[in-house]
Amino acid sequence: MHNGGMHNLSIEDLAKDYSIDGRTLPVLRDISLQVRPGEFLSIVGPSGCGKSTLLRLIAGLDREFSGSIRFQGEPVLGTSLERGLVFQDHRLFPWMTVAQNVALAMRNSGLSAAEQSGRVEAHLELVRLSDFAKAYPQQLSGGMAQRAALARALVNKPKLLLLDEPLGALDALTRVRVREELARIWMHEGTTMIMVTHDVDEAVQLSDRVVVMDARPGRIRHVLEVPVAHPREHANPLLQQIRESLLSELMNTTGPRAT
Amino acid sequence: MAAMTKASHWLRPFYVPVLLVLAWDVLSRVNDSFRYAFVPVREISTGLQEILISGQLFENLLASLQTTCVGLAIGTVLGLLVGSIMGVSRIADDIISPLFNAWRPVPTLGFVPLIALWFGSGDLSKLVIVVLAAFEPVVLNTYEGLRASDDKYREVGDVFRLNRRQLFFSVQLPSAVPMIVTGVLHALGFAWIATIGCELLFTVGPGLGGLMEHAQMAGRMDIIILCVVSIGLAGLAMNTAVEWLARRLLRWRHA
Repeated sequence: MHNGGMHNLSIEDLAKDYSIDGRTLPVLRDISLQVRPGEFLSIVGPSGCGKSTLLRLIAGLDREFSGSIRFQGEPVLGTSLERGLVFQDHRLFPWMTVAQNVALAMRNSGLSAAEQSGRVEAHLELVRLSDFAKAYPQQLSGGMAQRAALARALVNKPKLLLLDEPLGALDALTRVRVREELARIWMHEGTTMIMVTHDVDEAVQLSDRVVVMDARPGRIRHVLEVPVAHPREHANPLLQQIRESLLSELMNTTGPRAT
Repeated sequence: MAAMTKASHWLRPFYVPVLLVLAWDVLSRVNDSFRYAFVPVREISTGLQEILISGQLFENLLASLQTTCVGLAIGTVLGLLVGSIMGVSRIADDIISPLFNAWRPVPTLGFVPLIALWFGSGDLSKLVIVVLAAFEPVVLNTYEGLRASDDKYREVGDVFRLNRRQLFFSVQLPSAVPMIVTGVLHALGFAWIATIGCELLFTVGPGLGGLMEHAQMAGRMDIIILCVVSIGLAGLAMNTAVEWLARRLLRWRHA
């Protein structure tokens, strides 16, 4: 179905340094990763493993790195409407209504005004916020704001959606709801998704594959397959097993000093 | 009970003025020299009738308001322009900021002699002074507002491929609006002060400052008092109007 070996995103020997007070700090080393079209991939790892940095590099927000990042065969040199990004904090503009925020994403899409307003409507419906089109972000709950941000990221119909701990700022109950929403949208739209998270449960529940990273410098420890069909039951014994092994593995990556 | 609380809430701003008028009235009755310094309230109200009927109050008030509003409008537009350029361009900031910061501590009325030399002591000079007074706080607040504009929002603009113009008008400028509004409110106050100040110094053409100057020469203490009160009330009214406009503009904050 996903036309054979064609990769959506291909990362080869990626390395990234930060320069702090003239000293070079390695952030990412030897990152190589192939992402298939339509795949849901999660990246987990201890804090400081550079997972958010990796996502920013793929988004094209950060352009300083060595190695190569190719999206659909083309090197990534900057941001693109083909690659959407959802931040951990929703980052809606407080001076715009929900509908205006979503419409802003299409400012340079080349779509006609009628097409744009049609898409705003459709995507607000997709995230179940149609009744809040004219509301200001201030009036939304955390979960609603994050769903609005999701609509904004999806409205250009990106081929790749990058999610930087999109559920991290939400309370436990809202988190589960928005997670289910995300799974539903992913199945509905067929968009390739890469999600950075520190929540093992979330990663296993949503992903086809989970990338486990080590810290200082950030590198890929290994990639875990989650061979369970969607939609998934949370109580599925195989998911349960994968969750547990992943959790114990992450305990190890935090280092032997941990007590 | 609730109605009473509400009524007393509305009355609160009047407590101090009423007390002042009562104290004034008591002082005006002490002796003749007090009577000269604290003109009896009854004389003031006669004076008020006089300048209301002759149209002097209205004419001069209108002239002062006009100078302030025109000066504020021009000063705000210029201030937005210069503040925006400084806020957006690092080079412009390096060139203009030191100059601006050296100019700021000079009181606006300190420029009167120079302006009078260049533009004469007529309406044009008045306007220039008022424009300068309004210009300063708008530049400062536009600049600071743009500088404080969150990089997080800029990144969102980058993700959606906004060009510099779109980024400025859709992201940076709107995020600076709360500060710009504060700047305009300050500018209004400064413009009003500068207007009255210029009218006192130039004493040509109509204006409350001019009316005061004439009243002083004629020994009409009652009219001076009336002018002071009018200046205060007109300032309050303009401030309330701009605050109302600002609240409408910033609906998203109070939503």
